[in-house]
Amino acid sequence: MPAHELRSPIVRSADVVIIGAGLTGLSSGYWLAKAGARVVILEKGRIAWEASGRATGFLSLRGEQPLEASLAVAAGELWTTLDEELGYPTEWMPGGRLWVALEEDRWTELQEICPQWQAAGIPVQLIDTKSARDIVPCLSEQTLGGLHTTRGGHANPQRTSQAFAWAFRDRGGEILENTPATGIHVEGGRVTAVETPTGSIATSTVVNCAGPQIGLISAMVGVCVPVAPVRLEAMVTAPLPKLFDVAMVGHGLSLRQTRRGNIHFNGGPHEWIDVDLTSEPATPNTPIVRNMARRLAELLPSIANIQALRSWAGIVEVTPDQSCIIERLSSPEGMIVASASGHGFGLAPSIGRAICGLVLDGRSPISIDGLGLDRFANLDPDWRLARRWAAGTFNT
Amino acid sequence: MASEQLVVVGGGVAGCSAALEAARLGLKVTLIDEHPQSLQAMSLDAPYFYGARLAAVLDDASVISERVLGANDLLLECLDAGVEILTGTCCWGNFVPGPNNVHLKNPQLGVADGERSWLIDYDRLILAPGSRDLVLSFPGWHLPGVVGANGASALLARYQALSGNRMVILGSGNIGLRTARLAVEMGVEVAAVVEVASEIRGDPALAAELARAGVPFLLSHTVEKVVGEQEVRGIRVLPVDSSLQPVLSGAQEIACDTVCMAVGVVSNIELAAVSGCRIFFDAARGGWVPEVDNDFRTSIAAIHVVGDAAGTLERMHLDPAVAAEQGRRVARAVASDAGLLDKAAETQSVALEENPLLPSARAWLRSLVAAGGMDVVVCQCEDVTRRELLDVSPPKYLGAGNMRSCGGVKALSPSGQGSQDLIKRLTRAGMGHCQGKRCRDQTIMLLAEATGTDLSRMVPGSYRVPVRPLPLTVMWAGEETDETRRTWPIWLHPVEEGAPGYASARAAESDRAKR
Repeated sequence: MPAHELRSPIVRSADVVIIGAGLTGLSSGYWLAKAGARVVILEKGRIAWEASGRATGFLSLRGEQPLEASLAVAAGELWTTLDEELGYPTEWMPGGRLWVALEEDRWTELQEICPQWQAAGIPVQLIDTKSARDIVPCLSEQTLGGLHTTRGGHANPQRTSQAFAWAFRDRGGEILENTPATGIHVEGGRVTAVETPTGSIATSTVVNCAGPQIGLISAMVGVCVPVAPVRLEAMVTAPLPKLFDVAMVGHGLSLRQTRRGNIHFNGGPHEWIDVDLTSEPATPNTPIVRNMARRLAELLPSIANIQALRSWAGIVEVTPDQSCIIERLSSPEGMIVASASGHGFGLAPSIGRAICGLVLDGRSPISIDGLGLDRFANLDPDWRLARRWAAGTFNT
Repeated sequence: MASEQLVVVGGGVAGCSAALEAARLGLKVTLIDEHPQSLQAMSLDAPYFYGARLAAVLDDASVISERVLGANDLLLECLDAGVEILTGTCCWGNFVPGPNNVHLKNPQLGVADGERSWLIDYDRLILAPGSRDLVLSFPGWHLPGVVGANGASALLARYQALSGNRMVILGSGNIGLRTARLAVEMGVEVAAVVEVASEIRGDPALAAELARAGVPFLLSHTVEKVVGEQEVRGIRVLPVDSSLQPVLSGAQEIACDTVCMAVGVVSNIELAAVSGCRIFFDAARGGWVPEVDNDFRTSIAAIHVVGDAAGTLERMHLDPAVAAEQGRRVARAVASDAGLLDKAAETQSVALEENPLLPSARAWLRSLVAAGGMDVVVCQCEDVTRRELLDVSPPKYLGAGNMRSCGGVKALSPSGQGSQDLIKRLTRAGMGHCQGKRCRDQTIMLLAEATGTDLSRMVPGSYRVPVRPLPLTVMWAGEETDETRRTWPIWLHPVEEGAPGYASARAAESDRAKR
């Protein structure tokens, strides 16, 4: 993109401007501020008010995507001391991970996945019905078996986001809410400023972690970051006595029991959508919440009388191969892009470290090999249509 | 539209009047009312603050059913007029096609009885879910015997199941005076009507009638605490000075078994809110209400909101004709749209008047905080005190006492300070079983006071489906199709071989793997 004149005067400067105060942006900002950088995070709406506060709260182990395994291992280590690191509680529960199958084809899948994941270095093992029910006592007797690992865990997305936001603030960082990035100024192939409705911020480094808006922001400098936003639904029950620690996937749901005792679950049919640069997208719930309630009751029949208290929906962006994009661009110089393709909650501590390294040293301390944009060089420009991921398509 | 479906939610005066008029004008009408409620539903204080001492007779479904239906003449008239009536059925959600929900073909109302839930299609919807009690906290407000005015009225008149003989009423607005009159009529002694203001707020004629009947009024007083260990045995009240500070030397104890909070009522806007109707703050209507035109049509053309749910006016507490006329007005508008009635759009606006509710509630809250201090619980479900709320403390079960303090509500970002949802997420006030019905209003008022923000500039907590706590086995989609089961995704349908676009995605991936 050719250099253009700034549409608004420079009102301040920063070493780094991060676009998006979601968990990825907050974590990146935290590690950068801790290292002494002057960081401003621009947020079009409110801190962690979209996907980051609405997430499942799992640390994903990325067995299906070995290129992300290093990030997952590093995140797992960071999570163990994250409360102390940040100074605020995240409700991290290192309870491991359990996938269960109630149907034959799912059980076959788990049996096939197991050796692949073991080969990827993830210590999973197949367990029988009894062992699965030892881990989750209220689990259906229909359970055919499970895949279990003691690695991984879960935390409270809202508390975690706010913990990073507070810790970032405590280390001198600044978050500007209701302040969208409306332009990125490039001179001589280098980023020089970010424009906002209240003036421009001079900077040599921009981190674009705008979530569903990442593609729209990148397009400002002529770079294509292919993502498709999608709306997903989640629910929570009233609190129950402590039943299980493990982060569980089964019967088409992802679920965890919170520290308070509520069962937090999500999954189900989803609608692909479009977003714009400055507004918060609508996140309606649909009658699917009744089917989700049924699935939870089928999965955990002995607690089926517990009340559902709330439901909500959230929007995540998904990349064409459902893997992260993390890259320091060569053109323009000074621009970093990061999308976690909808599974960024648990990886946020390590993705933030990776971005911090990319900003300060030009390289990530954790392997991000293969997560760059070059893999999409030959992507069909109409890929969303081809994949039936265009706005308005449902559950495809 | 004569053959199309009008659904009315709420069997109070406004809802019944709307249903009756619509049926008379030739519309096909279904009326849904959640009463008689199950004991379990009532114990969660939805929709009213029933308190924790419900009479044993509530266990007898047939007796209660007869009483509740027998007490509602308008509902029986609706039945005679051919309205299909679903009683004991709550409406817990409303799903409307719109942005990011375009696959939904038509609007659907989520309803449930004690055993199952189902979806109802409609062409036009009239929401008349009434109001709930504005609940404020003081030491002992959790004890059995502390009730709200709506809850007390429902128990006295509809359920005939208030287990109490001697009541102290807090608040002398029309809702308090009305409750006092009902109590006297039903043989409950009113030991006092306590009012923080220096004069009686409600209708002078009714106040004089109550005084003649021997009801004492205690003006310029607030609550110190409820007396009693297991249940209410009395209440200690304190005089307040002109700046609402309690005068400790003037404390007196009044023996009673029931304390009725009649500070005010709040519009039940949760169904309108989850439907996506625009909500705004209007002090003249008592707080956050749906935006409606003169025909009570919301920002969604197929949805009307009428009666207390569209705004609570003082005179509505004493004069049911106001809600009845609103109900008939909506019915005529719907019939007109359906070509059944030749009528121009209503030009007469709903008469607005000075609404003393919010200033009065604020005075009560200030006096209660001054008298009770900061360690009074505001959220019963999640055990959160006033102090913990304003300090934005993590919940006690996290044992995070040794961690850093965030600096309290004033140290949050500007938009965070005004956000009830953020405080709810961090402190859990409003996250519990009652879905915030007991703490929502006092929480946002406390936050507004603490941050010096005008209430109108606060962002109230969002409402979520289901708007009644529903057991999973009730909410359960009984009619789930094979298609839904077969196509249920496992996390976004992972990239599958053969899927359109698969080839390019996988080719990119294998390229990376080789490198």
